[in-house]
Amino acid sequence: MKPWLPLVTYLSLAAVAFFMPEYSKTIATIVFFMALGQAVNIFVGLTGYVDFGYVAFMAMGAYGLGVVLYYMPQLGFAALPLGLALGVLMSILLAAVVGGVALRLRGAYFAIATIGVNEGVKHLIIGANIWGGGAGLILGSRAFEAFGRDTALWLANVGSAVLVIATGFMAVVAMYLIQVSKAGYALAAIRQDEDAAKVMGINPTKYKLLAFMTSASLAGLLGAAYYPLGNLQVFPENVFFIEYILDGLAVMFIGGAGTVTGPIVGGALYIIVRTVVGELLPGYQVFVTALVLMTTVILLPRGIVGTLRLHLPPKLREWLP
Amino acid sequence: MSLLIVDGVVKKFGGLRAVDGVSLTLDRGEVLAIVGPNGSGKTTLLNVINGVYKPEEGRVILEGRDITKLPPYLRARLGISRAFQVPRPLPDSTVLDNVATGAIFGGGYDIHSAKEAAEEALSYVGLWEKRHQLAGALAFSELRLLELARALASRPKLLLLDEVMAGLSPSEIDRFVVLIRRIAEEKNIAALSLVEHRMRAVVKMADRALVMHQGKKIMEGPPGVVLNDPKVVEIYLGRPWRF
Repeated sequence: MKPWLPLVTYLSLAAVAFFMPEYSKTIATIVFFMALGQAVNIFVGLTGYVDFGYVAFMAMGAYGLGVVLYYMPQLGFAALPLGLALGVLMSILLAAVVGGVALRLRGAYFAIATIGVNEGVKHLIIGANIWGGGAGLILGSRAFEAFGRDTALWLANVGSAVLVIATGFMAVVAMYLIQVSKAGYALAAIRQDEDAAKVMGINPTKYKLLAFMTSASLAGLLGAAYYPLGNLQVFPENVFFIEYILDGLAVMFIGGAGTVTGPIVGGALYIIVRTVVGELLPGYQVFVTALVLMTTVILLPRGIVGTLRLHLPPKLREWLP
Repeated sequence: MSLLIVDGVVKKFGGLRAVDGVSLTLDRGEVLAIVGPNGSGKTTLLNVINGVYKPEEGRVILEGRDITKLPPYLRARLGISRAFQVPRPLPDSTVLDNVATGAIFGGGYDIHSAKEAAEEALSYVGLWEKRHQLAGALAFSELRLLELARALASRPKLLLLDEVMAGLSPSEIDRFVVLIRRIAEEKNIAALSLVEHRMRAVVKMADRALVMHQGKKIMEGPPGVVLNDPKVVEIYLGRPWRF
């Protein structure tokens, strides 16, 4: 597998976002769906499990950076790396807790067990009134205090776009590292036949947890890049918005589950369809994207890239991971 | 020291004693056939040895170590490999990757040497030419060979063969019997093979036969003697068997 095509795509997008700040927000919005698809793909695409509580990981990342910025703006620039690290750490911890318990369950049971996680964490924050509770964290003035006004605005515009793109980039790297290592073989076996995998000497829980935590950390980074850094606010109703997992799954399935390039293609198509439908038939976006998703899953069960790969000669297939 | 000791194993499903106090021993390089009609508890016993089920009573001992409570993946690493009754390949992976996966996790190889071990195992069973095909595209008898190669590549001490001759033609069975004998003799691997109907194969393949009926061990001994025993013939075959 040669990961250059997706990596170069992300690098070019990052260059455009960096050197043409007027396009940064647009690029961030598009790449958000690609990177979301990438992150979801690392868990769902590689293990075949579906997590309906997934958005909670994005929320943890958003709150990690949000909380550090809100309560400790005096840290200055250190607040950014510290906040990102805290966000990623909280995502990984939540994944370890949820996965450690629920990943012992099979497919559908796992999906059911995770449905409550997102709402549960959200209502914990609102009900217990922690981290700003239902009112959320408004970070504009804190970010100005920490970074200075101009830098804060640049970070919100260009910085967040670059970080969203970097998340997608890292997801490709993670996918590559997993697939060329023992973990790739283990996950391929688990996805295809978990019982056979066990008998072959594979500890399924271990590798599912590895994919789950990797995927969660990237989702956390994405949440941190998008809400506290990009929008300068963290509202529970936004960061726990459950439809994002459906978006992520749609992007992944349209592009091709388990493929590396798939979420980039899927994300681009997804956003194009939503934008065009939003212009022509406002309010019908979800309906039409649902139709697109169903059509893809029925006609191209391996997704666009997955189907393309099937028809490429092995030499070329390497280049379209 | 025996490679495998199964000591008074009992496995119940509700009120049913699917395996009822079965004991057996197996040495390196020895082939034991467990014979019994459908529902006699053969596969349950295999699942207890394999770790899929934990027995209510009794112990499973591999090379002097009590493995009764170990999960299947740890037993695989200790040298217990299994071929399923219905072959369970990874259909979307290549034949080579299927076997290499067994080598990596069961055999403890790194990825590079796992591929070498996989190629060696594939040529041993005669499937090397198909190594780049997807496993899902193989014919049924080839899937049987794939499972055997996958088991072999994981450096087993004990092969558990669950009805591996079911669904094969008589000539394919003959080839399989020769292959299993070769594995036992050349590689000094013990094999425990479940057989429901292929009695002719049992006599050629096994050093010993153990007959199960309603979860209990009825008899054990040289295949030719055991299968002709009037008691076995009566409870199992229903009429005298002549070879």
